[in-house]
Amino acid sequence: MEISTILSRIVRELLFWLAWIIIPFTVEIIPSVRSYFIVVRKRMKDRRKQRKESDYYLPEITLAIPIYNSADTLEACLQSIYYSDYPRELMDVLLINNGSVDNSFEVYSNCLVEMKDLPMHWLNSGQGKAKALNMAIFNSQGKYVIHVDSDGKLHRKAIKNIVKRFEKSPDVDCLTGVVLTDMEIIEQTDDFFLRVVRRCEFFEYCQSFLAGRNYESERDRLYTVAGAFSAFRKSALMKSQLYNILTVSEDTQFTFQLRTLFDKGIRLCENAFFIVDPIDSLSRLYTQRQRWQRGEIEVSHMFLQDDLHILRDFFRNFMIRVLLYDHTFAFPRMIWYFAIIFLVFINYPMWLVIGSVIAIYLLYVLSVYLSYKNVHAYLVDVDDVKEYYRSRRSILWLLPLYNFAVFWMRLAGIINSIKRTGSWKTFTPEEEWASFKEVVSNDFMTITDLRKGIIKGIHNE
Amino acid sequence: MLWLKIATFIVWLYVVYALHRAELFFFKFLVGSVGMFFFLMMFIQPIILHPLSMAVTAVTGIPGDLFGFYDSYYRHVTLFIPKDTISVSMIIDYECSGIVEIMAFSSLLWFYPLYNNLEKLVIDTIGIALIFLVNVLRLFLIAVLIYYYGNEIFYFAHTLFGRVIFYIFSITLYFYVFTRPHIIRQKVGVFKYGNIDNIEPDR
Repeated sequence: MEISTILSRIVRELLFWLAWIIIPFTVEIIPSVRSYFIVVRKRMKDRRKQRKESDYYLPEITLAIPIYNSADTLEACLQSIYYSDYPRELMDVLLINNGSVDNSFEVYSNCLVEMKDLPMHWLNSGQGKAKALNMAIFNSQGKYVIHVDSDGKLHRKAIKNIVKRFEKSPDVDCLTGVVLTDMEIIEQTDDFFLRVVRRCEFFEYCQSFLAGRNYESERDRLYTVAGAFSAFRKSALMKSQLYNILTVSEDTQFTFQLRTLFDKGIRLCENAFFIVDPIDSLSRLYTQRQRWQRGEIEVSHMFLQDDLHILRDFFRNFMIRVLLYDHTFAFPRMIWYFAIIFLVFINYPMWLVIGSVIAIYLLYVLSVYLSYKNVHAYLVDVDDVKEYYRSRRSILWLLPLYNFAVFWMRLAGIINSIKRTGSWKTFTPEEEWASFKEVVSNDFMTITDLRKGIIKGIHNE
Repeated sequence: MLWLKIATFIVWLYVVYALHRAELFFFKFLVGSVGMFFFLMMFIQPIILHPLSMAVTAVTGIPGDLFGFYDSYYRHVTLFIPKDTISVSMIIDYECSGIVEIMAFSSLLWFYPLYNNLEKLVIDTIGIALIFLVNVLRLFLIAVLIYYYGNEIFYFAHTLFGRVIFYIFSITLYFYVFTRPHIIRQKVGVFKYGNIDNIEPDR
């Protein structure tokens, strides 16, 4: 065979592949490579801006912790504040109870005795996290207000790093911390499958905050602050319209408010860590991701109704691009996954189909590997996390598979949010399976009864 | 094999109906639209592929005749593009007809729970007409590329360029049919608190 013939065949094959992988390529892989370089550039910029420890002034601050049946986790949360490296006399901790029915107050009372030199106050608000946070805003005294969820622990340096970042950047009014899952609990998980899922989740959090949100932050495009750990300048909070009590996603709603109504600077503080428990089970992951997706749609409904023209707003408004990626692309992606199966039926060569799938999977692995490199460089002040992250990097081979599973959960969130009323209760797969089985078994009962009736009729009984 | 296809079809109908009664909206959408796509491809596609290809060829022929780039022979579903001394004939086959795109769109739409049946009928009609017209535009551009650059450009024009055009159009169509109306119609503020076991923290 002539060389030109071989070359033209190779080009043809390549073009065929390019055509098929164009969807994942443009939607996921190109943005991830782009964000890699932007975050690398940010790292270099940050290194130049570093200041000495003594250059910082540490003001009085308020920590707001909404309490809702938090008895099991509250003590660990308060201890992490108590043992942080921020001067205790400069902290004022507000615990806002919003309808607990457990013994959270007892735990608080014990902590009050144990941690005498940490100023703490208990307040009662109406039910709902948004109401609790609104009450905290009005009762806060500090220059900065830090929202912390009661189900996690702050890293020792988290508070100081956030305050330092505010002091360094007068144009920033809101900072979100980095949320990670607890490594110890992950490794103590007995069930092998759940342990793998939890490791994937850990990597997902690392990448979502230190690669994804870091990139968004650098481009001033943070879609949402972390509800579990975020901080605000008190002056900015007082100008806001407070937390919205109607949505399941009050944190995203608040982020949109600050950005669209007040044009406030919102950034990620990449060296302030907050540690939460890993996911309980796959079915909890399923309900959690559905609720997150619903939150995104609700907030878009509140803020983007007038900006929903793709041709006009695609380049103008990054939030339209987020929506396009999360919502619109989900449909061609779904078709695309099934089209792969269909290709086999319409006599495409099996090796080409399997080869394409492997090639795409490897591209996804490459994309998560790029994020991994970035995240690794950003894990400063947390040597244990860095070491853990590095030692478990083989999970990168499975991460695209995990992301694939999460994609279906988010798609379920899109569809279910249309019909179901918003609820903190989302059905688990077990509950959904049970309701399906019930319908089917009722049908069989009806058929059996009908059969019996006919037989009876025939025998004139 | 026909009996097997019909049996699968009946099972699919039953499963969709059961999912509907169990109020499992996502699974109804998933099983419904994927199943509908497969059955459309199995039962309807063989019937309408040829007439559709003929229609696409005939309509694509209009701008071809107008500008003199090529001739169309709709009975043979072929575009005939003269290039220097040779001619390139482009057969409007299964991939060029836009049938896959039409069926994928219709399947998604008919099980998307946002619209009522009348709305679905109107949107599907407009959607199919748009897909048809964009397909005509795509074929016209491919033929023009071949007219100017010859047969060598064919593979690039057809496999990559044509698909990109379709891809951009589909995303725009999907945005206006699936995303935008959903965001606008989304109900907010009707949520209730469940019990503690079902509360997941925000992160």
